Amino acid sequence: MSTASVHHISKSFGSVQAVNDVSFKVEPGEIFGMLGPNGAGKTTTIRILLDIFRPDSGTVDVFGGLMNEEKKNRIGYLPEDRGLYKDLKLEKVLLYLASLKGLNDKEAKKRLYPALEQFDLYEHRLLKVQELSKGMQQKAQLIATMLHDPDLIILDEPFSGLDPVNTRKVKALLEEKRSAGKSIIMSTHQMNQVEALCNRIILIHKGKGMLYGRVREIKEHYSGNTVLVEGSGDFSKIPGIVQTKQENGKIHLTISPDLDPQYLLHHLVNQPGAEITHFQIESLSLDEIFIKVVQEEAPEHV
Amino acid sequence: MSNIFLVARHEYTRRSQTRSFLFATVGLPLIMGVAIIAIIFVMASVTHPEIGVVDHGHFINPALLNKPQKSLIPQTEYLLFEDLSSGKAALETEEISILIELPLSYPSLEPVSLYSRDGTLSQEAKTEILSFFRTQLAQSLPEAERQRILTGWNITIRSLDGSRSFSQNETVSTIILPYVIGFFFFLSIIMSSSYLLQAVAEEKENRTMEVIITSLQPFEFIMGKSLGLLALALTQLIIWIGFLAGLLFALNSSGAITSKIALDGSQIGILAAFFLPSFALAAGIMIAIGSSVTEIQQGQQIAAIVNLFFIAPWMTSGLAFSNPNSPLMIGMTLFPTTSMLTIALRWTTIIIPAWQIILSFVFLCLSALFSIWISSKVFQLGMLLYGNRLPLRKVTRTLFANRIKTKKVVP
Repeated sequence: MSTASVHHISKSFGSVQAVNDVSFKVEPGEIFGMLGPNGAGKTTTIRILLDIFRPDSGTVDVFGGLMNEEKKNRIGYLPEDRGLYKDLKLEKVLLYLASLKGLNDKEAKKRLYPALEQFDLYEHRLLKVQELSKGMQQKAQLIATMLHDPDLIILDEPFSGLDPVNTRKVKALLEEKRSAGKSIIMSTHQMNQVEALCNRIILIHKGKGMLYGRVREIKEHYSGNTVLVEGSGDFSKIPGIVQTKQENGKIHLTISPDLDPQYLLHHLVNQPGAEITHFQIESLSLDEIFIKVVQEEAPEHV
Repeated sequence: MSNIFLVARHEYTRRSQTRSFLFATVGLPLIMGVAIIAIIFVMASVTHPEIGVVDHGHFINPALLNKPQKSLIPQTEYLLFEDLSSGKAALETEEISILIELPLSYPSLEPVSLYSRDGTLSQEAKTEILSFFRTQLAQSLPEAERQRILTGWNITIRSLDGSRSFSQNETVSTIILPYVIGFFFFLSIIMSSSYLLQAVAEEKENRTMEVIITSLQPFEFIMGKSLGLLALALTQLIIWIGFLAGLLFALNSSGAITSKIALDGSQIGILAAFFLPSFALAAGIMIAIGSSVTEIQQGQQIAAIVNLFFIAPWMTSGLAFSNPNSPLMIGMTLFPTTSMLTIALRWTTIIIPAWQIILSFVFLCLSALFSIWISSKVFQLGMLLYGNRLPLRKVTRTLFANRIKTKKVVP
């Protein structure tokens, strides 16, 4: 059973179509990336998933059915526009938010102190939130999101405001949650984090799902047209090579779509006078794929 | 544990620990109490005349001279002297300040002599001496006549149609107290709704709204906040009323006030019945304002204007006393935001017709329901508009659109 299934949801606000026929599934034990430019409809999609907004059409299943109050306690959400009660002590705020997620005081305290220690906030627990740095507040919000050990974790830009050390801690925590079978939806612009963490992604642009599938498969899908070769020889006359570009002693060969890279490798190796020291099928980074898809604007399911 | 209770508890404990709340709830009454006690002490320290009496005919009943001290404020002390020379000696040594000499034939028309050290007699001393003679002269009369002479008159003025009556001795019990209690109720409504405005606007300002509403329903959130803040206002109200009752008791015990204090249960009951819908009306308005604005300060500015509709009776209280049946007063009795305070004010001088109270209550309940309904819609629209004001046009358009779209709800 999928943790969350979104089926053809659409939502408009007045004349603005915020989400247009978006579908995806999130499975247990995976980190699912939600990508898209600013204003693409990611936050609206998340809010529909969380039952904050009702879709104009389409359906959302969470934990095998419609959202209800009980299921809300199994979800942890870190919104993009986030904050804490500034005039309250950190510990009090976190205990209150945990109580709203169904944790009693005793259990919440039992879980809270190790979490605070993990993020170096234990010493600051009795300070008012407004006395904490932005990074500390960000860490506190992550604790608030996960203290009740949710089965579905939705994080909107979880790394913003974090230094490299804490970024690493958060990544480790997310991987730990994934290993424990939790589902994580992560909306971010940091493509390197998506590549490093996400199993699958959806790319939303102008409210539409433009790209959906496994990160590895997507990258494979958008690769194969360019081959990187190091060595010597004349490669321009090989049939199927469209373009040859030399850069820093490396040769980038753009090949026609019907040319198999394995055949090319065989041909290069057997070419008289040629010496091949390195052969690699070049793949696009997610950044490049993102830009490419957004510019082409044609939905694709990988 | 119920989410409503959790939110209410959080809101109550959070606000009740703020300095402003503690000062308003405990500090202000304490300061007032200290001021009143200081005034009583000042009154107590004022020296009252000690009066000497020389009674040649033994007319005076010594038992009626010095009554047991019941008041913190000292009473005049009387001293009897055997002869005029010992009385005059006491006057010279300042043991007494006034000396009364009753002739042998007293109470015949033979003159009574009065001596004072400086040859003057204060108004206070004149009143006291008059009371002395009245008490002594009435001692032989039957009890009923004696009481009439001693207590003086009790005037009750009634209008010809019986709708207005004003009794001199009922000032505190039937007039001021319902008004004061009505005012306290009203004050707690204004205070709690103002807290509510602050609480909702703060959620937006702190950007905690989105996390909260993914943990509970907007209804639970608003209900919890409203109940928590109502409890807070009631705490304040109870402390203030307790303080007022304690003060009245202390003043009564000390003799500083002498009127009987009794509450008219029906009037208090009616005011209590008006309390909840009035609170719901004010709360709805404040939630709507808090959800629409971007900052607390902006909300407070709008709320200040809205509050004028609630405190209008206070501003026209002169008319409530002088012409309580004027069309304006009747209109304000029926108008939901002004009904509670206007009723309390008009009760000070008239008996309000039942139809006006019933109609006013119905209007109030309907407007309270409408206010809550509107506020829930505005809250849903405005809660996630961080840093943006909710335009009125959008509210009206959405309310209208919702009415059309209700049949198209997605399963």
